[in-house]
Amino acid sequence: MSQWFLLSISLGYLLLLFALAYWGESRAKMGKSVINNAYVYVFSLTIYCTAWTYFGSVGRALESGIDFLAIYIGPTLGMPLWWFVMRKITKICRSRHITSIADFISSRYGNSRFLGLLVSLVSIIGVIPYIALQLEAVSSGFSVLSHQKSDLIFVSETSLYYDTAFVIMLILAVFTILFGTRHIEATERHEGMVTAIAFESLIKLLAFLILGIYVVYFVYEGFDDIIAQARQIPSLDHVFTLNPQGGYMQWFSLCVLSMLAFMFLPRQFQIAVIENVNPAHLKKAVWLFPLYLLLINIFVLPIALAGELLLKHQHPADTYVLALPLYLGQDLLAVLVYLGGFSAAGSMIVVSTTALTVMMSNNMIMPLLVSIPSLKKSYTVQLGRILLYIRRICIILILHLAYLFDELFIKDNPLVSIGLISFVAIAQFAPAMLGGIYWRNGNRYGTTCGILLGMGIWFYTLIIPLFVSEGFLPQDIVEQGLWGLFWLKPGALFGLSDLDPISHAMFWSLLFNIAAYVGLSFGIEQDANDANQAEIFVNIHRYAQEDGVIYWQAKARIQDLEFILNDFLGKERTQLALKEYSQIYGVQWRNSTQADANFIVFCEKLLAGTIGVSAARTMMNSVVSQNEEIRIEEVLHILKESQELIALNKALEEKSEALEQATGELQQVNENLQDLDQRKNEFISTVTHELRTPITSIRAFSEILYDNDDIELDEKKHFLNTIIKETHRTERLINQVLELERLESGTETLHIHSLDLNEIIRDALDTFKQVIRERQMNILLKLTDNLPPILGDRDKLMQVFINLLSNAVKFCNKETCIIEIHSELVQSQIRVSVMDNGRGIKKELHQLIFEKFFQAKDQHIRKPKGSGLGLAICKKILQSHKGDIFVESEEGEYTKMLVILPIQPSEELEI
Amino acid sequence: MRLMKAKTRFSKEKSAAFLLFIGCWMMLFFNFPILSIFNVSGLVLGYPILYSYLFIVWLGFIGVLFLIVQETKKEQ
Repeated sequence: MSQWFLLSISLGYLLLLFALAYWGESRAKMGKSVINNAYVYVFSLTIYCTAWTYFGSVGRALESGIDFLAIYIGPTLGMPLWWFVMRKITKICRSRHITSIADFISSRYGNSRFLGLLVSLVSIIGVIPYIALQLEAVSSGFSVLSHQKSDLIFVSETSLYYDTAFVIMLILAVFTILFGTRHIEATERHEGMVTAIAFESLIKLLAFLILGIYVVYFVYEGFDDIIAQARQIPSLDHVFTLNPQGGYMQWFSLCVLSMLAFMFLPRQFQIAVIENVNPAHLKKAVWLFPLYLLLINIFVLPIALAGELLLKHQHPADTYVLALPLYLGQDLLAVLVYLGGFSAAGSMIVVSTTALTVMMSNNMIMPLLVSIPSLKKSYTVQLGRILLYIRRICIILILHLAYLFDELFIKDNPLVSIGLISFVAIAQFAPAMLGGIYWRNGNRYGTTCGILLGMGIWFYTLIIPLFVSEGFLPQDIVEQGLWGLFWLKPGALFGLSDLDPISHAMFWSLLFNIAAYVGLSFGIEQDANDANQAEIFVNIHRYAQEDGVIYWQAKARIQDLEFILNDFLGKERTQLALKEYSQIYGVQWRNSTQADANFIVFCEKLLAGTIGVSAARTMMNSVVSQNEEIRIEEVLHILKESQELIALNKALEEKSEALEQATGELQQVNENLQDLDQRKNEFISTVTHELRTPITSIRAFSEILYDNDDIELDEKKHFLNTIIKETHRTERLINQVLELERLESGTETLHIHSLDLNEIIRDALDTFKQVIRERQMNILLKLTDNLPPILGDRDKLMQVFINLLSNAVKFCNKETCIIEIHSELVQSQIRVSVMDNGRGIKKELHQLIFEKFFQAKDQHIRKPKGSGLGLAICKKILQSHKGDIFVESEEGEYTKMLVILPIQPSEELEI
Repeated sequence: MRLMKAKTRFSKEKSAAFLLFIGCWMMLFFNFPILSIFNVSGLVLGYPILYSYLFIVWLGFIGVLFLIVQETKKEQ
């Protein structure tokens, strides 16, 4: 294939990407963001799959078997964790205007400028080999396609700068400058860049799948065919399994490393957090991202085997993906695959470079620039512009460094092993990041020391051997150890020789990193700034809406602040932001010259989004006068106060709830009391009414007797008899009222004995012997023998039955009076019924007859023969025995009073 | 019916617990010693055993993740 053809294809594809990016930008300007879509978000996340995946997996599969999959299973394992961690980190970054992982760590650990610098350096050192790897992959792909050994395009092979890798680097630098540095504010999303990347992710997946399907189903007859043929070659046996010696450990390390890399690689952080439009999109990624990884890996093994079967080592294994379609004569497919690889590499380079550039400019260069007073003064008007140029220079610088690294080291090393070196470096951020958002005690000393130690070990165990193998350092270091000390051998530090290089480096670096982080965090006390930020980061849900005002007791002139903002944001953007501020807080800040703490914090955050947190802090410090350095005790005091306030608030809420409940209960009680009062009044008026009737007649007869001396003796006797009867009636009424009161108030004492109910019924009946005989009543006594005894007060129960029998006697049919008494055992109750054949009771009165003085209220049904308290007293007595009484009646037919008493009433009887 | 479905969805806390639980199971299934059970050189229906195991379990877990996330209430 001609180089010019390939070059124009590449340029054409790039132009398409440029167009897409422009389209994305313009849509965003119209307010119809393309990347505000969960699927676009997930596809852009798949920049995780770089040229390493695209070309390197095949090489790795042939070299060390199935463990290439660990790099993709790792993020799947980490996905549940990723969801929480990223949700929290996204929230923190939004509220604090954080734009990179370096900003994040430096901001969390007390706005430490040194930490920002350190993390940026580590990122650059760690990621540059990774970018170099992409350049190498694309340029070697180019050379495979164009059948050239060395890939000179323009002039001569002697000139280092004129090969494919270099040209690609330049083109990508232009793309990154155009779409990665559009705004000064690093918090702004790069809509165009992300649109292009999502598209590239789609292309790389499709190209790889098409190649896989072609090889498996058109060249061979399916998976099993390739595998069956490959099994014939004994040298391929190791491809199908893990090496039982150390393979599991390596597998585990790869899983852990890739999990951490997926979270904390600068480009992943950029896409997952900074470019995220809506945190709800994270949810889709939880399953869709692993699915993408699975799909892009399905055909790795068949392609590797087919390459091994067909190409037989004519090419390095890392280029099989391209060499295979060429060998099979499918040039068009080869071009498609090349574009897929180009997409994989290009998107990674663009995003990584953008992320690193922001770190470099905001955490390395800006803090330096703003802290040099003479510089600040002379450039003050165009600092914002200068910042943009700095970023552009950074992009070119980073890409050149990557290119250099490629030229110096990568040429002879497989892609994956270089990538893994980057992963181990990035993993050093994990303790500081995870500890930073969940552990309040983590402090800057621990973090700094941890990262330094981790990176030191990383450099010693992974980079030194690389230098040695390239001949920059003497071989002795690797073989004998530094200074001939065997326990300092880079591949077997402290004598640990059983692990593969990556697991070995990961183990020691993370061990020292975590130990230093935790140990120093415990050992050295946090300073005020640190404690303040720790509280905000760990409990971001509490502070996301606030500006952390209380922690910054400072004063500044509004004019000064406006001036700084103008420098970096430009006049237009500054006015907009100030307007926004006064709208949100309703502050007429123009009226005063002094800015309050709230406004200072607002400005600092605004500035942080553009020049990074540490530079922003330096800028603010130059105009803000802090009365005195805030001390740790003050911060702790404020924190404690705010926590106490929260606790107090909670307690207050609880108390007011309890109060409400108590009020409700009181109201209920009050209602009950009023009800009782009402009933009491009714009762008293009824009782007095009842008493008045006999007293009136007694008085009337007594007056007659007193006034008329000449009354006949017979008549006199009759009158006196009436007076006696009425007096009895009054007495009885008073007794009954008193008894009812005692029963109701619970002052009546029951004398509990074991009783035979039948006997009580018989005794009660005996008292009516005389009447029965006189009126020739028919008594049907149907008592069940051997009823179990019950516990109760004999006299009271006797009273109940006497009352019932007297009612029956009173109201039974005057001509043929029949009274039936029945007792039986039903389950654990004794039921006694007393039935008469009287005129019956209306159904609606069945409940009412047990009310006090019911009879008195309803005199047209029954004559006032009693007090009207009898049945009410019966019911009370029975209820105090845990029993009850009911009535069954048919008007004009019968009345049946049904008494129920439990055999074994519970131990304490209610009185 | 729609209302019923909305009611049965997991709260964020509940699905968080579920996801962590699944994460632990994935760690178990994708590492030594369970991995060693399938780390044998042989074929199942023409596919290498370890290869088939990894892909099938992988796909299975993606399905489980999908179900959990799908049943989680929308964020405010």
